[in-house]
Amino acid sequence: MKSIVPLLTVLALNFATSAQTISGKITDVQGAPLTGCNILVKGTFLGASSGADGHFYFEAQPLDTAVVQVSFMGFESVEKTFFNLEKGKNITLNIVLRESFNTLKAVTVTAGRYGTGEVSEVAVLSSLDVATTAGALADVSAAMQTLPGTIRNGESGKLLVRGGTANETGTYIDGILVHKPYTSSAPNTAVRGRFNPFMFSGTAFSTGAYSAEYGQALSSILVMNTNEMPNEETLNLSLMTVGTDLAGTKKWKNGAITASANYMNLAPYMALVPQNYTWLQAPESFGGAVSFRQKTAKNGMVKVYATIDNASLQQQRQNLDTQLDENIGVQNRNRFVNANFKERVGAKWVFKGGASYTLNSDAFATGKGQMQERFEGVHAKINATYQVSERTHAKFGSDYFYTNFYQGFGSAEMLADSTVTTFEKKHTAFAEINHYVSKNLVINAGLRSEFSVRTNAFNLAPRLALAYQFKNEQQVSVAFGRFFQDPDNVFLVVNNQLGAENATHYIISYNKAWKKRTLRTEAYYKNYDGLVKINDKGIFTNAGYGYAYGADVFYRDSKTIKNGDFWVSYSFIQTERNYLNYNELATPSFVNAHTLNVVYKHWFSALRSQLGATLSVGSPRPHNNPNQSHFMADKLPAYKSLDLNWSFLYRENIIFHASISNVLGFKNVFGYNYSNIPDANGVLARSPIVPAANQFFFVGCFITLSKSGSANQLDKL
Amino acid sequence: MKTTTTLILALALSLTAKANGFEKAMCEALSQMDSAQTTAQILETANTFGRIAGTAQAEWLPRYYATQCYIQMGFNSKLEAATRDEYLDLAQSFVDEAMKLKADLSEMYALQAMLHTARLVIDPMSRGQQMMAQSAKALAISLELNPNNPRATYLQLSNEIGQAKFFGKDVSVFCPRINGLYASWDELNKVPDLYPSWGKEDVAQLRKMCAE
Repeated sequence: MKSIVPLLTVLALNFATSAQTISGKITDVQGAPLTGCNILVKGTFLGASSGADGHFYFEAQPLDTAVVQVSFMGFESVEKTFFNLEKGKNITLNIVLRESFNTLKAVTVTAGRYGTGEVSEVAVLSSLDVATTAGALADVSAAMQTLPGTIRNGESGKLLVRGGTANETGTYIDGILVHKPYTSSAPNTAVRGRFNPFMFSGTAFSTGAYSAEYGQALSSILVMNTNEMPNEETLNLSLMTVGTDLAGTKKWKNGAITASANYMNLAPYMALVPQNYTWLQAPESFGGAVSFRQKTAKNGMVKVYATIDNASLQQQRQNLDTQLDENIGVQNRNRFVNANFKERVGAKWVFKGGASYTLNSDAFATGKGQMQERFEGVHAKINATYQVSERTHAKFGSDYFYTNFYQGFGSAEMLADSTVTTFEKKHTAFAEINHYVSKNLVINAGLRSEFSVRTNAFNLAPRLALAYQFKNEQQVSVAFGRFFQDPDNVFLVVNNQLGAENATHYIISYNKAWKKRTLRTEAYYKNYDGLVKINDKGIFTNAGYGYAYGADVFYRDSKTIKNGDFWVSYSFIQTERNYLNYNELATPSFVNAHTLNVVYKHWFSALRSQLGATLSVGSPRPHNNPNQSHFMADKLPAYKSLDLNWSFLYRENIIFHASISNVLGFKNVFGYNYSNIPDANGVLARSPIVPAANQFFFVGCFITLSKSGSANQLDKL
Repeated sequence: MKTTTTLILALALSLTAKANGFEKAMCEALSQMDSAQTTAQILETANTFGRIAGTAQAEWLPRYYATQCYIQMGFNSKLEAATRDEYLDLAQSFVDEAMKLKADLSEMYALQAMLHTARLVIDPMSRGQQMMAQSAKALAISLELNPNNPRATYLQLSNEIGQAKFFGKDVSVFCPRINGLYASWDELNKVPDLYPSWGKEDVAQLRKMCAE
């Protein structure tokens, strides 16, 4: 190597005498040094990275003109041009970099909103969460009942939010309304949501003060977005103690179609496990679903989702008045189609729209006669979002709603002795602006207007929300809104001119996020007016009113316990209403003043299994005992339940799943049915309303067949 | 990835008065990559390749190596998940650029597969199925373009072994393929200067579990 050394020295000397140094320091707007920035002289390969103290230094061949560019991930790049450089003169430049504006890292409104996917950054429940939450049995609305602000009513199974009834929550798929999101059942026997959580990639749940894009829900909305394109073609087979499900996915260049068929029959299960009710025909249903997705030419997507469902059951109950057994049979036929599109036009416009059609018919048969209900609903919607600037976007749109409801009563001999119908057409429009004052402050203001053909009246609903984020991943958010909702169809058939009920929300929330941990706290006040009330002459009016206020705390942690993920949710609510047949303000019987949910999941990698546990506790609900002189004087026992589930990854493409609800066998009572005829002591006899079975056992096996052989339904569990 | 060949090459080129600026910069960057140990050093190397890529707009090689550095950052479990994803986003932007140029697409697809695996590792429970499928797909394309690509073969083996380990399967069934790949590595790895040539040491690592 001897001959090389002198050569190197010569070169080095040459280099040294004609070199020019470029050095300096890079800082952010607060003056803190930025490490790892890239400093380069454009058009050359010369440059350096900034060190731990923000300093950088490199040597360059003498240049006449130099354009120095400084860049760093998450910041706006800066360029500085130097003209007529003196030979050999060293250049010093100190640069301040500004954070670049990126909506993904900017603040989003969280007051009253929980979301996953593109809706909000405060991720709460993914479809995997929904399916692994013990006690939810993969029902989206059941899983939502472990979140704060919700109340669990075991006899209904539906989602109740912040002192509102189940009707006060609207369910949407891809932004289009689902008129009948729940299955039908015998009175006081729980229903469940109709949808498989794995159809959806993101779920946004709002506990109040939601966007002007939506209306007709006094308390909250649940928005589920269907999946985009699948990864590969698969055939999924589910074998469960309650039935079976078969689904196949086929994909082509820019589209895919998934078709599924399912059959459920609880008869074998009910033969094995004792039930609290006598079933003459155990719940049985069969149905199918089709989901079609196609990317359109540019950046758009068209989706169509359709389901067919037929269900029936027959229960036997004792009639408290006659002491005789009665049969209650329920038959349900549900057809649902939802088609929607999304298209980006140019750089600034996004158009979305779609329509849904629901046809739901229920036939209830008792010994006395039959009641038939037939509901037809249409929702059509079109929206446009316009990106006014990098920091502002405007959204506006219009909806059309059509509903037609028919209720027929008849004796066993002659159907349709009497029928009542009601229908409604609604035209609505909304406009909303979202403006980022800075990365840390966002304002959202909207206005919604609805016109009802039925009452020939229109209403105006303002919405306003603000969010401010500050140091250490903390955020404060406030929201306000006015909400209108038509009374339920069962009231409209009696009085077709009932006006909309309304609610006003005021919400304030504070959140903090750490690594893999989230804390959310929220306080709210809701004012209800125009509620349906029956006066002493039996006339239905809008004279009802009420209020609700309370606070929720939610803490989620997937870091503290290794391989463990848990959340704790506590809600407190005080609410009273004077509506329906109430004579005074009283707390409704569907309310628990305090609700606590603790959900835990643990992954045992050696066993390739996940354990899930959910503890739910609700303070005693008020209850009206007609034997008491005071209204709503009684209290039901507190609600308690501990649910467990276990998922085992047997092979790459085979999963076993088992779950038990109410493992400790708590005896929960959801209310009482009272006789209308006093007994010998002048007391009205009663029977408790209890769950169909104290505990529910479930075992299932899920198999996925695909070309690669590595796909599985792990996502499903 | 310490090889003396790049060092000698750098020395040789620096002595040549008419050395091509691009090749010189690449050689220096490659030796910087060889010696990078800490996170700061890896990021500096990524920056170096980023600068070369910015000036040499038609070259895929600096983009390849910048991607490789950012993928390494993506695999670093000491960093926060969001930061790892950001680095992988940067890596992906370089991959997207390189794919449009006159590049060795077999190598680019193999690298893309590695990127998908890095994404998977950040959140295996929710990304497992999707990213595994995408990684396998990218490797299939890579091997279709060049069935002899040793890096693609290595990555495919690595993915399969990882999956087998997760299911508690016996990994010794892979040993014949591992040993075969190691033995024929030099034959398969006859690539031009500056081209990616890494991997033999990684295969040697895999061999260790077969020696038992």
